[in-house]
Amino acid sequence: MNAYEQLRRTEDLPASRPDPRFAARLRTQIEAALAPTIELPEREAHIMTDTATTTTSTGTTTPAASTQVLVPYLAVSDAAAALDWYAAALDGTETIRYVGDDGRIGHAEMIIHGARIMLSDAYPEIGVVAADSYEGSSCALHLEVTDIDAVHSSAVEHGGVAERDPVDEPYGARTSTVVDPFGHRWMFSQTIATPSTAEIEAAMSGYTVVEAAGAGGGIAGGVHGRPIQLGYYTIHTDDIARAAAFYSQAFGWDVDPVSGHVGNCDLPFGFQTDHGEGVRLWMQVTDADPVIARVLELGGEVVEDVLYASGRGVECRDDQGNRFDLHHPAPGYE
Amino acid sequence: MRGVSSEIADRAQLLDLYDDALPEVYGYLQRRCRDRTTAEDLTTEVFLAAVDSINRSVVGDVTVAWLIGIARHKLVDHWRRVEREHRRLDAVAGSIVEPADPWDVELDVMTARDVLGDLGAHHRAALTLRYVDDLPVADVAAELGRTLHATEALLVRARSAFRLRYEEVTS
Repeated sequence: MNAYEQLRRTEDLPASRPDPRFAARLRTQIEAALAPTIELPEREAHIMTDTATTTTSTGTTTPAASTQVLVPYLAVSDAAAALDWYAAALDGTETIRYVGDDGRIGHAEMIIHGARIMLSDAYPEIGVVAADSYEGSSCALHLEVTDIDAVHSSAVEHGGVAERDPVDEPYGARTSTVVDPFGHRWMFSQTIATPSTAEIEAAMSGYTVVEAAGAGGGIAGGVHGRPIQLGYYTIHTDDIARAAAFYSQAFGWDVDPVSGHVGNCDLPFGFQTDHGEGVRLWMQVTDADPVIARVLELGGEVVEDVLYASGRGVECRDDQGNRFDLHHPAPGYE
Repeated sequence: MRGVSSEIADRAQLLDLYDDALPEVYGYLQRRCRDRTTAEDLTTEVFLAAVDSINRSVVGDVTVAWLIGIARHKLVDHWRRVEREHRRLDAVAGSIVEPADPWDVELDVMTARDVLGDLGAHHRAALTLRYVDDLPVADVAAELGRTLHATEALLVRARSAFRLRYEEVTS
Protein backbone atom coordinates (compact mmCIF):
# COMPACT_ATOMS: atom_id res chain seq x y z
CA MET A 1 0.00 0.00 0.00
CA ASN A 2 1.18 3.46 -0.88
CA ALA A 3 2.43 5.14 2.28
CA TYR A 4 0.22 8.24 1.77
CA GLU A 5 -2.90 6.13 1.52
CA GLN A 6 -2.24 4.95 5.06
CA LEU A 7 -2.96 8.51 6.23
CA ARG A 8 -6.62 7.48 6.21
CA ARG A 9 -5.82 5.42 9.33
CA THR A 10 -5.22 8.62 11.34
CA GLU A 11 -9.01 8.81 11.32
CA ASP A 12 -9.08 5.78 13.66
CA LEU A 13 -7.13 7.66 16.34
CA PRO A 14 -9.39 8.76 19.17
CA ALA A 15 -10.66 12.32 19.12
CA SER A 16 -11.41 14.15 22.33
CA ARG A 17 -15.03 14.70 23.31
CA PRO A 18 -16.39 18.24 23.21
CA ASP A 19 -16.20 20.00 26.58
CA PRO A 20 -19.72 19.86 28.14
CA ARG A 21 -19.59 23.59 28.92
CA PHE A 22 -18.75 24.32 25.31
CA ALA A 23 -21.58 21.98 24.21
CA ALA A 24 -24.10 23.79 26.45
CA ARG A 25 -22.91 27.22 25.33
CA LEU A 26 -23.14 26.33 21.67
CA ARG A 27 -26.61 24.80 22.10
CA THR A 28 -27.79 28.05 23.66
CA GLN A 29 -26.27 30.00 20.77
CA ILE A 30 -28.00 27.74 18.26
CA GLU A 31 -31.34 27.98 20.04
CA ALA A 32 -31.06 31.75 20.12
CA ALA A 33 -30.12 31.91 16.45
CA LEU A 34 -32.92 29.52 15.47
CA ALA A 35 -35.65 31.19 17.49
CA PRO A 36 -38.01 33.07 15.26
CA THR A 37 -37.70 36.75 16.05
CA ILE A 38 -40.36 37.64 18.56
CA GLU A 39 -41.27 41.27 18.96
CA LEU A 40 -41.69 41.87 22.67
CA PRO A 41 -45.16 43.31 23.22
CA GLU A 42 -45.45 46.92 24.20
CA ARG A 43 -45.95 47.57 27.87
CA GLU A 44 -49.63 48.49 27.35
CA ALA A 45 -50.19 45.08 25.79
CA HIS A 46 -49.21 43.26 28.97
CA ILE A 47 -51.94 41.69 31.05
CA MET A 48 -51.19 42.80 34.57
CA THR A 49 -52.54 40.47 37.18
CA ASP A 50 -52.11 41.74 40.69
CA THR A 51 -52.41 38.52 42.65
CA ALA A 52 -51.03 39.88 45.89
CA THR A 53 -52.98 38.99 48.97
CA THR A 54 -50.75 41.27 50.98
CA THR A 55 -50.17 44.98 50.62
CA THR A 56 -47.15 44.42 48.38
CA SER A 57 -47.60 45.65 44.81
CA THR A 58 -45.40 46.99 42.05
CA GLY A 59 -45.95 50.51 43.25
CA THR A 60 -44.11 49.79 46.47
CA THR A 61 -40.36 49.75 46.40
CA THR A 62 -37.96 49.85 49.29
CA PRO A 63 -36.77 53.40 49.79
CA ALA A 64 -33.05 54.02 49.48
CA ALA A 65 -31.41 53.45 52.81
CA SER A 66 -27.97 52.74 54.16
CA THR A 67 -28.41 49.08 53.26
CA GLN A 68 -28.95 47.95 49.70
CA VAL A 69 -30.55 44.64 48.82
CA LEU A 70 -29.83 42.68 45.66
CA VAL A 71 -32.93 40.94 44.36
CA PRO A 72 -32.24 37.72 42.45
CA TYR A 73 -33.89 37.66 39.04
CA LEU A 74 -34.35 34.07 37.92
CA ALA A 75 -34.79 32.91 34.35
CA VAL A 76 -36.70 29.64 34.25
CA SER A 77 -37.80 27.38 31.43
CA ASP A 78 -41.46 27.52 32.51
CA ALA A 79 -42.21 30.56 34.64
CA ALA A 80 -45.85 29.68 35.30
CA ALA A 81 -44.86 26.24 36.59
CA ALA A 82 -42.04 27.78 38.63
CA LEU A 83 -44.42 30.26 40.30
CA ASP A 84 -46.70 27.35 41.23
CA TRP A 85 -43.78 25.35 42.54
CA TYR A 86 -42.30 28.14 44.66
CA ALA A 87 -45.75 28.81 46.10
CA ALA A 88 -46.32 25.16 47.02
CA ALA A 89 -42.83 24.05 47.99
CA LEU A 90 -41.37 27.20 49.54
CA ASP A 91 -44.55 28.87 50.75
CA GLY A 92 -44.01 31.75 48.35
CA THR A 93 -46.60 34.46 47.76
CA GLU A 94 -46.89 35.73 44.22
CA THR A 95 -47.32 39.49 44.11
CA ILE A 96 -47.48 40.26 40.39
CA ARG A 97 -47.03 38.78 36.96
CA TYR A 98 -46.78 40.27 33.45
CA VAL A 99 -47.98 37.89 30.74
CA GLY A 100 -46.75 38.72 27.24
CA ASP A 101 -48.91 38.27 24.15
CA ASP A 102 -46.65 35.40 23.14
CA GLY A 103 -47.72 33.53 26.28
CA ARG A 104 -44.41 33.90 28.07
CA ILE A 105 -44.20 35.50 31.50
CA GLY A 106 -42.04 38.56 30.98
CA HIS A 107 -41.81 39.43 34.65
CA ALA A 108 -43.14 38.13 37.95
CA GLU A 109 -42.40 38.73 41.61
CA MET A 110 -42.76 36.65 44.74
CA ILE A 111 -42.09 36.93 48.43
CA ILE A 112 -40.50 33.78 49.85
CA HIS A 113 -39.93 33.69 53.60
CA GLY A 114 -39.75 37.45 53.63
CA ALA A 115 -37.31 37.64 50.71
CA ARG A 116 -38.24 39.09 47.35
CA ILE A 117 -37.41 37.34 44.08
CA MET A 118 -38.19 38.21 40.49
CA LEU A 119 -38.43 35.76 37.66
CA SER A 120 -39.35 35.40 34.02
CA ASP A 121 -39.46 32.84 31.28
CA ALA A 122 -36.30 32.40 29.25
CA TYR A 123 -35.81 34.84 26.37
CA PRO A 124 -32.86 33.21 24.59
CA GLU A 125 -33.11 35.69 21.71
CA ILE A 126 -31.90 38.43 24.06
CA GLY A 127 -29.52 36.27 26.07
CA VAL A 128 -31.86 35.47 28.98
CA VAL A 129 -31.24 31.76 29.40
CA ALA A 130 -32.86 29.41 31.92
CA ALA A 131 -30.69 27.79 34.60
CA ASP A 132 -31.53 24.27 33.40
CA SER A 133 -29.89 25.01 30.04
CA TYR A 134 -26.58 24.59 31.83
CA GLU A 135 -25.05 21.71 33.74
CA GLY A 136 -25.62 23.59 36.97
CA SER A 137 -26.23 27.00 38.44
CA SER A 138 -23.18 29.00 39.43
CA CYS A 139 -25.18 31.31 41.65
CA ALA A 140 -26.96 29.95 44.72
CA LEU A 141 -29.96 31.59 46.41
CA HIS A 142 -29.17 31.92 50.10
CA LEU A 143 -32.40 32.11 52.09
CA GLU A 144 -32.58 32.74 55.84
CA VAL A 145 -35.41 30.75 57.41
CA THR A 146 -36.63 30.13 60.94
CA ASP A 147 -37.38 26.42 60.57
CA ILE A 148 -34.92 24.93 58.16
CA ASP A 149 -35.97 21.32 58.60
CA ALA A 150 -39.57 22.09 57.62
CA VAL A 151 -38.56 24.26 54.67
CA HIS A 152 -36.03 21.70 53.46
CA SER A 153 -38.49 18.77 53.71
CA SER A 154 -41.19 20.71 51.89
CA ALA A 155 -38.82 21.56 49.03
CA VAL A 156 -37.73 17.94 48.72
CA GLU A 157 -41.27 16.55 48.99
CA HIS A 158 -42.30 18.78 46.11
CA GLY A 159 -39.57 17.41 43.87
CA GLY A 160 -36.50 19.47 44.76
CA VAL A 161 -33.26 17.50 44.85
CA ALA A 162 -31.43 17.63 48.19
CA GLU A 163 -27.74 18.17 47.53
CA ARG A 164 -27.11 18.39 51.26
CA ASP A 165 -29.50 17.67 54.10
CA PRO A 166 -29.63 20.15 57.02
CA VAL A 167 -26.49 20.10 59.14
CA ASP A 168 -25.25 22.31 61.97
CA GLU A 169 -22.23 24.30 60.83
CA PRO A 170 -19.58 25.73 63.16
CA TYR A 171 -20.16 29.27 61.85
CA GLY A 172 -23.46 29.37 63.67
CA ALA A 173 -25.96 28.23 61.08
CA ARG A 174 -27.85 25.06 60.25
CA THR A 175 -27.77 24.86 56.47
CA SER A 176 -28.93 22.67 53.61
CA THR A 177 -28.89 22.80 49.82
CA VAL A 178 -31.71 21.92 47.43
CA VAL A 179 -31.75 22.22 43.64
CA ASP A 180 -35.26 23.06 42.52
CA PRO A 181 -36.87 21.49 39.40
CA PHE A 182 -35.91 24.57 37.37
CA GLY A 183 -32.18 24.22 38.01
CA HIS A 184 -31.79 26.88 40.69
CA ARG A 185 -29.79 26.03 43.80
CA TRP A 186 -31.19 27.14 47.15
CA MET A 187 -29.10 27.30 50.29
CA PHE A 188 -31.39 27.37 53.30
CA SER A 189 -29.86 28.74 56.47
CA GLN A 190 -31.10 29.05 60.02
CA THR A 191 -29.08 30.92 62.62
CA ILE A 192 -28.40 28.63 65.58
CA ALA A 193 -25.51 30.40 67.30
CA THR A 194 -23.41 33.54 67.06
CA PRO A 195 -19.84 32.33 67.46
CA SER A 196 -16.90 34.71 67.40
CA THR A 197 -14.39 34.61 64.57
CA ALA A 198 -11.94 32.81 66.88
CA GLU A 199 -14.56 30.19 67.75
CA ILE A 200 -15.37 29.62 64.10
CA GLU A 201 -11.71 29.22 63.25
CA ALA A 202 -11.17 26.78 66.10
CA ALA A 203 -14.07 24.63 64.91
CA MET A 204 -13.13 24.64 61.24
CA SER A 205 -9.82 22.94 60.69
CA GLY A 206 -8.27 23.79 57.37
CA TYR A 207 -9.56 27.36 57.35
CA THR A 208 -8.09 30.61 58.52
CA VAL A 209 -10.93 33.04 59.09
CA VAL A 210 -9.94 36.60 58.37
CA GLU A 211 -12.41 39.33 59.14
CA ALA A 212 -11.75 42.54 57.25
CA ALA A 213 -10.90 45.43 59.54
CA GLY A 214 -14.08 47.32 60.36
CA ALA A 215 -16.09 45.06 58.04
CA GLY A 216 -19.68 46.27 58.13
CA GLY A 217 -19.16 47.90 61.52
CA GLY A 218 -17.99 44.65 63.08
CA ILE A 219 -16.96 45.02 66.68
CA ALA A 220 -15.52 42.71 69.34
CA GLY A 221 -18.31 40.94 71.19
CA GLY A 222 -20.80 41.30 68.34
CA VAL A 223 -21.74 39.17 65.38
CA HIS A 224 -18.90 39.35 62.88
CA GLY A 225 -19.41 42.03 60.28
CA ARG A 226 -22.28 43.71 62.08
CA PRO A 227 -22.73 46.26 64.83
CA ILE A 228 -24.13 45.16 68.17
CA GLN A 229 -27.87 45.63 68.09
CA LEU A 230 -31.18 44.89 69.73
CA GLY A 231 -31.78 41.17 70.03
CA TYR A 232 -34.70 41.03 72.43
CA TYR A 233 -36.89 43.31 74.44
CA THR A 234 -38.97 42.71 77.51
CA ILE A 235 -42.18 44.43 78.62
CA HIS A 236 -43.18 44.65 82.23
CA THR A 237 -46.40 43.03 83.41
CA ASP A 238 -47.70 42.06 86.84
CA ASP A 239 -49.49 38.98 85.47
CA ILE A 240 -48.29 37.12 82.38
CA ALA A 241 -51.55 35.15 82.02
CA ARG A 242 -53.58 38.36 81.90
CA ALA A 243 -51.16 39.96 79.46
CA ALA A 244 -51.44 36.85 77.29
CA ALA A 245 -55.23 37.07 77.29
CA PHE A 246 -55.26 40.80 76.52
CA TYR A 247 -52.58 40.94 73.80
CA SER A 248 -53.56 37.74 72.02
CA GLN A 249 -56.97 39.33 71.37
CA ALA A 250 -55.76 42.90 70.84
CA PHE A 251 -52.75 42.16 68.58
CA GLY A 252 -52.82 38.42 67.83
CA TRP A 253 -49.66 37.83 69.89
CA ASP A 254 -48.87 34.25 70.77
CA VAL A 255 -47.74 34.60 74.43
CA ASP A 256 -46.28 31.64 76.32
CA PRO A 257 -48.24 31.73 79.61
CA VAL A 258 -45.25 30.56 81.67
CA SER A 259 -42.14 32.26 80.21
CA GLY A 260 -43.97 35.26 78.76
CA HIS A 261 -42.11 34.84 75.45
CA VAL A 262 -44.01 36.03 72.36
CA GLY A 263 -43.37 33.52 69.61
CA ASN A 264 -45.02 34.89 66.47
CA CYS A 265 -43.53 38.35 65.88
CA ASP A 266 -40.56 39.33 63.70
CA LEU A 267 -38.50 40.81 66.50
CA PRO A 268 -38.48 38.45 69.49
CA PHE A 269 -39.67 39.80 72.82
CA GLY A 270 -41.47 38.71 75.97
CA PHE A 271 -43.28 39.81 79.10
CA GLN A 272 -41.52 39.82 82.45
CA THR A 273 -42.83 40.29 85.96
CA ASP A 274 -39.58 40.98 87.77
CA HIS A 275 -37.91 43.97 86.17
CA GLY A 276 -39.88 47.00 87.14
CA GLU A 277 -41.92 49.39 84.99
CA GLY A 278 -41.55 49.89 81.25
CA VAL A 279 -39.51 48.21 78.55
CA ARG A 280 -35.99 46.87 78.63
CA LEU A 281 -33.82 46.71 75.52
CA TRP A 282 -31.42 43.77 75.37
CA MET A 283 -28.46 44.29 73.07
CA GLN A 284 -27.33 40.91 71.82
CA VAL A 285 -23.63 40.10 72.16
CA THR A 286 -21.56 37.05 71.38
CA ASP A 287 -19.21 37.84 74.26
CA ALA A 288 -20.10 40.32 77.01
CA ASP A 289 -16.59 40.93 78.38
CA PRO A 290 -15.08 43.06 75.60
CA VAL A 291 -18.31 45.08 75.47
CA ILE A 292 -18.28 45.66 79.23
CA ALA A 293 -14.66 46.79 78.96
CA ARG A 294 -15.56 49.38 76.33
CA VAL A 295 -18.61 50.55 78.30
CA LEU A 296 -16.47 51.19 81.36
CA GLU A 297 -13.76 52.87 79.34
CA LEU A 298 -16.32 55.22 77.77
CA GLY A 299 -17.60 56.33 81.18
CA GLY A 300 -20.56 53.93 81.48
CA GLU A 301 -21.17 51.52 84.35
CA VAL A 302 -22.27 47.96 85.08
CA VAL A 303 -25.09 47.66 87.61
CA GLU A 304 -25.75 43.95 87.65
CA ASP A 305 -24.29 40.87 85.92
CA VAL A 306 -26.62 37.84 86.13
CA LEU A 307 -26.59 34.35 84.64
CA TYR A 308 -30.16 33.39 83.64
CA ALA A 309 -31.29 30.12 82.06
CA SER A 310 -31.58 32.12 78.82
CA GLY A 311 -28.00 33.36 79.08
CA ARG A 312 -25.92 36.09 80.63
CA GLY A 313 -27.65 39.41 81.27
CA VAL A 314 -25.72 42.54 82.10
CA GLU A 315 -27.55 45.66 83.25
CA CYS A 316 -25.61 48.77 82.27
CA ARG A 317 -25.81 52.56 82.27
CA ASP A 318 -24.32 54.79 79.58
CA ASP A 319 -22.24 57.86 80.48
CA GLN A 320 -25.47 59.88 80.92
CA GLY A 321 -26.99 57.37 83.30
CA ASN A 322 -29.47 55.83 80.84
CA ARG A 323 -30.16 52.11 81.16
CA PHE A 324 -29.46 49.39 78.60
CA ASP A 325 -28.92 45.65 78.98
CA LEU A 326 -26.55 43.19 77.32
CA HIS A 327 -27.65 39.68 76.55
CA HIS A 328 -25.33 36.84 75.65
CA PRO A 329 -27.86 34.11 74.83
CA ALA A 330 -27.46 30.56 76.09
CA PRO A 331 -27.61 27.91 73.33
CA GLY A 332 -31.20 27.63 72.12
CA TYR A 333 -32.07 31.21 73.11
CA GLU A 334 -30.47 33.04 70.19
CA MET B 1 -37.30 28.04 -1.90
CA ARG B 2 -39.17 25.68 0.37
CA GLY B 3 -42.15 26.37 2.55
CA VAL B 4 -42.24 27.76 6.05
CA SER B 5 -43.31 24.41 7.52
CA SER B 6 -40.17 22.63 6.29
CA GLU B 7 -38.10 25.47 7.74
CA ILE B 8 -39.68 24.85 11.14
CA ALA B 9 -39.12 21.09 10.72
CA ASP B 10 -35.42 21.76 9.96
CA ARG B 11 -35.09 23.89 13.10
CA ALA B 12 -36.48 21.10 15.26
CA GLN B 13 -34.34 18.55 13.44
CA LEU B 14 -31.12 20.48 14.02
CA LEU B 15 -31.81 20.68 17.76
CA ASP B 16 -32.77 16.99 17.89
CA LEU B 17 -29.62 16.11 16.00
CA TYR B 18 -27.37 18.34 18.09
CA ASP B 19 -26.36 15.88 20.84
CA ASP B 20 -25.40 13.20 18.31
CA ALA B 21 -23.93 15.54 15.73
CA LEU B 22 -21.78 17.63 18.04
CA PRO B 23 -19.21 14.89 18.91
CA GLU B 24 -19.03 13.90 15.24
CA VAL B 25 -18.43 17.41 13.96
CA TYR B 26 -16.14 18.35 16.82
CA GLY B 27 -14.26 15.04 16.49
CA TYR B 28 -13.81 15.53 12.74
CA LEU B 29 -12.34 19.00 13.31
CA GLN B 30 -10.33 18.14 16.41
CA ARG B 31 -8.62 15.20 14.66
CA ARG B 32 -7.61 17.46 11.81
CA CYS B 33 -6.51 20.57 13.64
CA ARG B 34 -5.49 18.98 16.96
CA ASP B 35 -6.04 22.19 18.89
CA ARG B 36 -9.08 22.36 21.18
CA THR B 37 -9.75 26.08 20.87
CA THR B 38 -9.57 25.99 17.08
CA ALA B 39 -11.81 22.92 17.01
CA GLU B 40 -14.37 24.67 19.22
CA ASP B 41 -14.25 27.86 17.14
CA LEU B 42 -14.70 25.95 13.90
CA THR B 43 -17.48 23.77 15.41
CA THR B 44 -19.33 26.95 16.39
CA GLU B 45 -18.88 28.31 12.85
CA VAL B 46 -20.27 25.05 11.42
CA PHE B 47 -23.44 25.07 13.50
CA LEU B 48 -24.09 28.77 13.05
CA ALA B 49 -23.63 28.35 9.30
CA ALA B 50 -26.14 25.47 9.47
CA VAL B 51 -28.60 27.70 11.34
CA ASP B 52 -28.09 30.41 8.75
CA SER B 53 -28.82 27.98 5.91
CA ILE B 54 -31.97 26.76 7.69
CA ASN B 55 -33.15 30.31 8.31
CA ARG B 56 -32.58 31.13 4.63
CA SER B 57 -34.31 27.87 3.57
CA VAL B 58 -31.41 26.64 1.49
CA VAL B 59 -31.06 23.21 3.09
CA GLY B 60 -31.35 19.76 1.58
CA ASP B 61 -31.43 17.29 4.44
CA VAL B 62 -30.37 18.16 7.97
CA THR B 63 -27.94 15.28 8.62
CA VAL B 64 -24.55 14.69 10.22
CA ALA B 65 -23.08 14.19 6.71
CA TRP B 66 -24.33 17.64 5.70
CA LEU B 67 -22.73 19.15 8.81
CA ILE B 68 -19.43 17.34 8.13
CA GLY B 69 -19.49 18.84 4.63
CA ILE B 70 -19.81 22.31 6.16
CA ALA B 71 -17.02 21.41 8.59
CA ARG B 72 -14.75 20.54 5.68
CA HIS B 73 -15.35 23.96 4.10
CA LYS B 74 -14.67 25.67 7.41
CA LEU B 75 -11.47 23.68 7.88
CA VAL B 76 -10.22 24.64 4.42
CA ASP B 77 -11.07 28.28 5.15
CA HIS B 78 -9.13 27.98 8.40
CA TRP B 79 -6.09 26.51 6.68
CA ARG B 80 -6.28 29.18 4.00
CA ARG B 81 -6.15 31.86 6.72
CA VAL B 82 -3.20 30.12 8.36
CA GLU B 83 -1.50 29.76 4.99
CA ARG B 84 -1.88 33.45 4.29
CA GLU B 85 -0.08 34.19 7.53
CA HIS B 86 2.79 31.95 6.50
CA ARG B 87 3.23 32.97 2.87
CA ARG B 88 6.98 32.95 2.99
CA LEU B 89 7.16 29.34 4.15
CA ASP B 90 5.01 28.49 1.16
CA ALA B 91 7.58 29.91 -1.23
CA VAL B 92 10.29 27.72 0.26
CA ALA B 93 8.08 24.62 0.25
CA GLY B 94 7.26 25.28 -3.41
CA SER B 95 10.81 24.41 -4.41
CA ILE B 96 10.58 20.82 -3.14
CA VAL B 97 10.52 18.14 -5.81
CA GLU B 98 8.99 14.69 -5.18
CA PRO B 99 11.62 11.91 -5.11
CA ALA B 100 11.33 9.50 -8.03
CA ASP B 101 11.39 6.27 -6.01
CA PRO B 102 8.07 4.91 -4.73
CA TRP B 103 7.51 5.19 -1.00
CA ASP B 104 5.72 2.16 0.38
CA VAL B 105 6.81 1.96 4.02
CA GLU B 106 4.43 0.99 6.82
CA LEU B 107 3.50 4.31 8.48
CA ASP B 108 3.29 4.67 12.22
CA VAL B 109 -0.14 6.26 12.61
CA MET B 110 0.63 8.50 15.58
CA THR B 111 3.82 9.79 13.97
CA ALA B 112 1.98 10.32 10.69
CA ARG B 113 -0.63 12.40 12.45
CA ASP B 114 2.03 14.50 14.17
CA VAL B 115 3.96 15.01 10.93
CA LEU B 116 0.76 16.09 9.20
CA GLY B 117 0.30 18.65 11.97
CA ASP B 118 3.83 19.96 11.46
CA LEU B 119 3.32 20.72 7.78
CA GLY B 120 2.36 24.06 6.31
CA ALA B 121 -1.39 24.61 6.22
CA HIS B 122 -1.65 24.29 2.41
CA HIS B 123 0.16 20.93 2.41
CA ARG B 124 -1.82 19.75 5.36
CA ALA B 125 -5.07 20.75 3.68
CA ALA B 126 -4.21 18.96 0.44
CA LEU B 127 -3.09 15.72 2.13
CA THR B 128 -5.98 15.70 4.58
CA LEU B 129 -8.62 16.14 1.90
CA ARG B 130 -6.99 13.70 -0.51
CA TYR B 131 -5.91 10.94 1.89
CA VAL B 132 -7.61 11.33 5.28
CA ASP B 133 -10.98 12.36 3.85
CA ASP B 134 -10.27 10.12 0.82
CA LEU B 135 -11.61 12.61 -1.74
CA PRO B 136 -10.83 12.30 -5.46
CA VAL B 137 -8.33 14.91 -6.70
CA ALA B 138 -11.12 16.76 -8.55
CA ASP B 139 -13.04 17.20 -5.28
CA VAL B 140 -9.91 18.32 -3.46
CA ALA B 141 -9.43 20.91 -6.20
CA ALA B 142 -13.02 22.07 -5.77
CA GLU B 143 -12.66 22.37 -2.00
CA LEU B 144 -9.41 24.30 -2.30
CA GLY B 145 -10.68 26.47 -5.15
CA ARG B 146 -7.74 25.52 -7.36
CA THR B 147 -7.55 24.04 -10.84
CA LEU B 148 -7.04 20.31 -11.19
CA HIS B 149 -3.55 20.86 -12.50
CA ALA B 150 -2.56 23.21 -9.69
CA THR B 151 -3.97 20.76 -7.17
CA GLU B 152 -1.98 17.87 -8.59
CA ALA B 153 1.15 19.99 -8.37
CA LEU B 154 0.30 20.96 -4.81
CA LEU B 155 -0.21 17.30 -3.89
CA VAL B 156 3.22 16.44 -5.30
CA ARG B 157 4.82 19.13 -3.15
CA ALA B 158 2.74 18.15 -0.12
CA ARG B 159 3.72 14.48 -0.39
CA SER B 160 7.38 15.43 -0.68
CA ALA B 161 7.19 17.68 2.32
CA PHE B 162 5.42 14.96 4.29
CA ARG B 163 7.93 12.27 3.35
CA LEU B 164 10.90 14.53 4.08
CA ARG B 165 9.55 15.42 7.50
CA TYR B 166 8.48 11.83 8.30
CA GLU B 167 11.90 10.44 7.45
CA GLU B 168 13.54 13.22 9.44
CA VAL B 169 11.42 12.42 12.50
CA THR B 170 11.79 8.62 12.31
CA SER B 171 15.48 8.45 11.40
